[in-house]
Amino acid sequence: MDDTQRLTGRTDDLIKGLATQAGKRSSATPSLSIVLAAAMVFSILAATGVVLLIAGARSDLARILPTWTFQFKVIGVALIAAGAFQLARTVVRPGRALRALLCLAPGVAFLLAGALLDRSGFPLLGVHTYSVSSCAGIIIMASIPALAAFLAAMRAGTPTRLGRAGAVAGLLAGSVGALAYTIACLNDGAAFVAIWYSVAIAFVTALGAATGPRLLRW
Amino acid sequence: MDTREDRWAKAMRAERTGDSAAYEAFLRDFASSVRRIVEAHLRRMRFSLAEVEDVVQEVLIAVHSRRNQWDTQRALLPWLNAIARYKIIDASRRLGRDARVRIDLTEEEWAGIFSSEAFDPERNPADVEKLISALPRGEQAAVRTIGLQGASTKDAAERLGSSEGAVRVAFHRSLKKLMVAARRKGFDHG
Repeated sequence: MDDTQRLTGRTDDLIKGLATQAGKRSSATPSLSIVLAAAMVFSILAATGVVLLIAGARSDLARILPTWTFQFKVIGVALIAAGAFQLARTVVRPGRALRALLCLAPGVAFLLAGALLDRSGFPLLGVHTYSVSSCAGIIIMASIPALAAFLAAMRAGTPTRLGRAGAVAGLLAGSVGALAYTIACLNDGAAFVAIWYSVAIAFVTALGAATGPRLLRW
Repeated sequence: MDTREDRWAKAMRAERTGDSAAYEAFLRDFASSVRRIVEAHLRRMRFSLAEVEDVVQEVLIAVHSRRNQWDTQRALLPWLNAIARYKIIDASRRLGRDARVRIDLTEEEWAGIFSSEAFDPERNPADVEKLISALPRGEQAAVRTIGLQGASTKDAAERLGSSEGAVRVAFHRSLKKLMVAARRKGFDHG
């Protein structure tokens, strides 16, 4: 019993100490939204850099920019990225309900519709035998710096479910990587994009989920 | 204005204007409800209650150091719950790990456990008997045959008419319980 009293006494001292700091801001930390936005800008630049370095922009980029096949990729992946960004803003704040499906629904629906309505006859495995592996591989590589940036940014917040937060960081990084890869990707079939981009993004999501608990601990 | 949410949220807003007294009252109130939760949790996980105050303090420090991140426009309780939950789970993982480190001994160390300085049946046979008799019957038999009579797991399995694996599991499980019980009774020097 004495022991318990001594211990709660220690907590009492701590409370008194903490209370004297009332009204004092711990430090001039930038707002969480700004940190995440900065990570987003960095990620887009880094992913584009990686894609240009490894694959280079496709030579007919200027010609395809206004075409639907190109815009389909960009819009689909950008919608996923926007949903993931919203999720990232949620998971770094404790106690917020995660309406995952709602945030991702527009992107998923868009890609799914594109894949189902795809009448291009473009082969599902791409134009080359290495299409799938190079597409997924480059997206994943372009996502790695982004994943690092988002995980670092999340540490400025207060994630309380680390696996989930890591997965969201991975999803966001993967979709940014895929977005950057659109400038190099030669595979213009909507179904190809919907399937293989998703596989690459899912891989990065899993990577984030696996590393989150370790890297986001506080 | 007398729900917990309202009272605590009001105190947390008062903290921002430097109201130490309101903040201190909130921390005290919050600490005692965290303490109840942590106690129940550690008891359910069969951890020693000696860690309760450490965990409570970790939760308090976590809330304190991130208090500026709470959005005053939003409910406070879900925010507090999520942080407390995270810190309690984090602490019980650490306790679980500590327990494994303390308890993961080699077969020889397990066998030698009753002749170690800290836990000596020669000195305290009655106490040891009391601890053992609190175990389930199957584990009692395993610990008596292997730990006290010095039989190998194979012999013990034969004698008890059980498989070697089952005997080993029963033995380890019972030793784990004995160590926890012994520590609670102050057998441990540590």
